[in-house]
Amino acid sequence: MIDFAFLLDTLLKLLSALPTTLTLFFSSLSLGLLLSFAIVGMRVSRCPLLSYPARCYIMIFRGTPLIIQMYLIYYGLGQFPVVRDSFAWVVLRSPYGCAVVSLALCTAGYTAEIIRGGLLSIPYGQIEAGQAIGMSRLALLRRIIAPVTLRQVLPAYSTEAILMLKATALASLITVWDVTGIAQQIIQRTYRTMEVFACAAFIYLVLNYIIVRAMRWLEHRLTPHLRERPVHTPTKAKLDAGSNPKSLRSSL
Amino acid sequence: MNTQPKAALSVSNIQKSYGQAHVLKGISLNAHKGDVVSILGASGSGKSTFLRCINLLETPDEGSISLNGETIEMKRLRDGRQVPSNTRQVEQIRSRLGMVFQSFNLWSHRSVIENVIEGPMRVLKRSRAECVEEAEQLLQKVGLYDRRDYYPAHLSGGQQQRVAIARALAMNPQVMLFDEPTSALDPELVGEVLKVMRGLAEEGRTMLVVTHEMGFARHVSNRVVFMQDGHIDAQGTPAELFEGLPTERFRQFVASHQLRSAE
Amino acid sequence: MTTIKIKALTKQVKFALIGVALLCASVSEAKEWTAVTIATEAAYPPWNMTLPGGTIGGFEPELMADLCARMKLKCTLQAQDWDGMIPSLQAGKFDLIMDAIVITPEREKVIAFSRPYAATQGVLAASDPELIARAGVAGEVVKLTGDAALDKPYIDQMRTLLKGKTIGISSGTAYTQFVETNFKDIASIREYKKSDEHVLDLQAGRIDFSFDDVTFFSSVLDMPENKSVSMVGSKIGGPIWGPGEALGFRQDTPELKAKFDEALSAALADGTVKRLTEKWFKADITP
Repeated sequence: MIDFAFLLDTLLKLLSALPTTLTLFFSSLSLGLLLSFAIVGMRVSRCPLLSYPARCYIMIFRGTPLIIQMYLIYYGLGQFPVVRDSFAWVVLRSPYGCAVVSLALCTAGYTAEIIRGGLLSIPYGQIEAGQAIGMSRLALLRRIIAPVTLRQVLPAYSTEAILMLKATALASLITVWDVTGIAQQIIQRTYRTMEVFACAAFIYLVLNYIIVRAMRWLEHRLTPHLRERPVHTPTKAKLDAGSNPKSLRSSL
Repeated sequence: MNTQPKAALSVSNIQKSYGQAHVLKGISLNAHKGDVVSILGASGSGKSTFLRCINLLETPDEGSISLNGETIEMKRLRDGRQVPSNTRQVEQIRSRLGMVFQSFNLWSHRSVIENVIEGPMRVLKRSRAECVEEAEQLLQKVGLYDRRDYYPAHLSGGQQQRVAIARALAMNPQVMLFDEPTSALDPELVGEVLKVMRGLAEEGRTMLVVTHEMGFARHVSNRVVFMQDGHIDAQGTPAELFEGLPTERFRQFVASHQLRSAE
Repeated sequence: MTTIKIKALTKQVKFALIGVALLCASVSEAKEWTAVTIATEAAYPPWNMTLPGGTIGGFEPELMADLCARMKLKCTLQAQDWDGMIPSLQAGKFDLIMDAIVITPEREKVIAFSRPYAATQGVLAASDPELIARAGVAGEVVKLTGDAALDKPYIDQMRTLLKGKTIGISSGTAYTQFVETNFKDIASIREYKKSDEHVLDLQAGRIDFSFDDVTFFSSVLDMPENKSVSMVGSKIGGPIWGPGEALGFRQDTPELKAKFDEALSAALADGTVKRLTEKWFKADITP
């Protein structure tokens, strides 16, 4: 009853588009992350010249649908000769470039707010303790603020990563041949909607499962302080250091 | 008691307002090497604010702070307030002032020993091996050597505060500032922390301690300062204050504390 | 106690009978069509488009209005993307589809077609003046048969023109296959969801040529924002596109298809279709 041959053939065709989906995902996620650092830095600044533009950016990119953003960047910008003659056209000419740009700009807005939430939730006392010891602002940022924020935002960011992977499917609407694009192409030719989309959904499901596991492993590695209290075995006071490997464990 | 011509810590005319509330109305204090100064007062008297002004966690609107002769450079802004003009100097002075907080403020993502070596490694730029060795000795001193790989979340309040003291000691500070170090602890854990502090006092450390522990103020410190409404109401040796009871306000303060501890 | 039980039983039986009656009614209603829902793209002028007020207009909606009047059916038009049109039809979201759908063997496997009511041509379009000069503005009609051997001379001509270029087409149309089969090896082909998207990209310079229906280009090229675009080469007509454009039905509603076939025959015979095509396409494109 179930046409396994067709399903297998479809899966293979869809998997051939997997590199496109994955490169879309990784490049837009990483570019978006870098951009979000800049935006959140501006957002939390005390200078209104920096924080207001950042707030506008965040509001625009969180407040409009991603598909509209993508269409605006791909078709909208392409209508202006001034854009076509600029150096940006090298990237904006190709649908893949536009998709990456659009996805990155969108995730930057959300990620900036996620990071800001993490920053606000750092116990202020820990920052004061760093200041009281004489840490410079840079050292404070590197050693206290960044690590604590990272641990606070991981759960929220893993959600963002999952949403981004699913958002790459929208690139098919601007003629990028990712998994969803190929799926639609197959359906156009065979009219077997149910089977083809089920295969595509399965592929996205597997990818998202991998992301979830990876994030959870990362969370586990980074939060020994949230785990169970270790069993206490008193050790004799050591007067010579360097012989106990545990105390020389490196930290993140 | 050694009195030396140059004070280890010299603070003069510290004033601080938050909006309309004038919290500190001109506090001056000199602490010499080896002094253990207890700062007492009711809530709202400004004692914690005063302590936090010393290492510039709060910026005093007026007044100057000198550590071993070096004064913190300040500049005046257009609206009359003053701010430190040399951040590098502030960081350096802070590194020579150790602070122990009421809520411990250990870094939760670092283990006990990592908390202690963080300062010496990152701020004093010493080698890791050196820092670890010294940290282990300090942890032995405060009695927490065998929990050096634990995380703050796995420790009791008293244990965390002792780690915080070790962390402050790791910087080898010239003056130590204690901001109500036992106020957040359960009564049965207060003793272990006071014991460590007593040990430090006996070693000859210069300490400024904001506290409610009358016993410590009376028996361990060599000077007591009583603050009220942003002023210093009374100061002197423990004997002068606790036996002499020089002012009415101080008498009431002591009486209310004795009542409380008798309950 | 027994009385209550009997009462309850009677209640259940009553409901069961009502249910069966309704079922019979609905089943029997299927055999007598009084109202139909028709899906169209509403974005493929002049066949079908969304008018400024939001209503759907164009050649096909007007033809449909005429046919429904003949059959005394209440017809409701609904907009639907071409992409999902055939699957939605099969899912029962509407009863027939109308979107300049060309009869092709692949499509005949999954849906049933009415008799054709139009037969149009496909043509290339370009926006770059240099390419327009090289290809020549479209004039006469070339008839291709669909037989590779017979069509070879003209196809080869096109291949020289299109070599190394990028061609945009709407996905899933009869032209898609034509372009892919004949030019995939020498040109890069981009598939778009909507026809106006490839016109936009043509002007933006992302693609060199577009291939679509003559009637579509005729209507959009009238608009001022598209004045740089021209039809080039020759208009391609003939049996290569099959019998022509027709209405699509689910394969399980032959009686509905029969009704429409009857109405279409009448409309073709009395010249209504011819009149409408001349109104909208300025040419007679009846089959």
